[in-house]
Amino acid sequence: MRFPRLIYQAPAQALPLSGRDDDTLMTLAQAGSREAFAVLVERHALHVVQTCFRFAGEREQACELAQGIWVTIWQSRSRYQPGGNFSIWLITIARNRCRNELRRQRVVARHSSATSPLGPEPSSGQIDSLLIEERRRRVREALSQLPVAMREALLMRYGEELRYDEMSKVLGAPESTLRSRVHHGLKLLKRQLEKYL
Amino acid sequence: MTRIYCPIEAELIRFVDADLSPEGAEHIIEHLSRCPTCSQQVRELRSLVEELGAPIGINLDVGAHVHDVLRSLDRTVAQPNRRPVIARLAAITVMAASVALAVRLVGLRYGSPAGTWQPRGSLQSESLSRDVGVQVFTLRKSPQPLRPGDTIAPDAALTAGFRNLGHEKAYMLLFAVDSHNAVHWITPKYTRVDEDPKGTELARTEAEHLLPTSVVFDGMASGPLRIVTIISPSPVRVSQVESLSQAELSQGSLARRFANAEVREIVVQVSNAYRGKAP
Repeated sequence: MRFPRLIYQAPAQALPLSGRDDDTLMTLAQAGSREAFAVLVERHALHVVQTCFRFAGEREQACELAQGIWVTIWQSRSRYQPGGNFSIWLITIARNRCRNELRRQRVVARHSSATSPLGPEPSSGQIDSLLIEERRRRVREALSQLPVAMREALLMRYGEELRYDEMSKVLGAPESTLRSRVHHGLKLLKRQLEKYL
Repeated sequence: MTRIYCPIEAELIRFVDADLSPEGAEHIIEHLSRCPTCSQQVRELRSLVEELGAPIGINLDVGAHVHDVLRSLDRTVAQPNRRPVIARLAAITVMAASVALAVRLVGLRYGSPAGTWQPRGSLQSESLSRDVGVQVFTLRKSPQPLRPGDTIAPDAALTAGFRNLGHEKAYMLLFAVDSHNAVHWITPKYTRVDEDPKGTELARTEAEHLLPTSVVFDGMASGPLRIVTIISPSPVRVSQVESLSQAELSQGSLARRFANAEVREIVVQVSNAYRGKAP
């Protein structure tokens, strides 16, 4: 038997890495592709930093935490099951990392100015920014005083906008428990912040 | 007259959390249309939920961040046991966080402090005393002018408003001295001991303006708090206050030391009982 003679081989379709979905990029990262991993980091960098900021309340520390989270993800990439939800896996690792780091360090959320320097023509809404920032500081402070489990449930529900079934995967608790934590947490926060809402 | 039976708070919370059945939600919506008390409760809860989910305005240089992450991977491979270094801000950074370095001007729209500014006699000749007004505010739902004898929480957010009707620039040092004689800076920004910033420049402005950021003091002692303003025609540096002894920080002593400047002071009370509750 003879094989047909190969006359023309079409070049493989080279979809740029940035066009691949998270699962494919993780699979490539599992095979050792740092380029694929870099695309993943780029895609989710801001989200991870924001998640860390919600836990830590401080920008510089959020960036440091985020960096550590990506290192953890790289180190444990072989455990990722393609077909799973990468975002949920990412949030789970982020949450665990934040929780462990902050437990070590006892971080107190502080007021830091989120206002960028004003341009040559000052905004008439600057006072609003001040008040909004102050209200957020109060919320962060009140949040930091809640029990950890309750705080995490609130952050996952409203910060990450997860459904209860997704929260259950991240936090490893039954949905009913998480509902109760969220609702009770809201009640406590509302009482504490009544003057600022 | 029909009596309105209000749902319990837990129901309103579930409503705001979108955790009610469609029928349950419909029932609450119908109730809210008739009950201002519950409507207010729901507004507050929604405001809280919005704050919890508020987007975080972090300017992240994503490219640099990716670069840092990849470099961390290299370091991890080279030194597997090394933990990422966690940057710790010095307490002093926290202390004076958010004070603007430069005063950029902004219109003060809420609760005009017209009646609270330092008096200026129009018949007097031009002077800092007459031309420059400064008012300290605490921030809650709106800026509240701070008056002598007021009580504030140790974690109150403070800012200041000013105007300068003079023809020349003026410079302002604004700081508080707590009952343990610790000096806390409101403006200028003073976050590192190796820096020595000069007073915040107050350009001529006919309208009242507010500093663009507020400050929360770290480690504020309870008891009387002196808030001191030094307005000078030429820049005075932070070190000229920081180097003073306890006795030299009195208003009289400061006025003698800075003879060309206007030195003002108000005394308020700091109470731990107000923490998280009041200004």
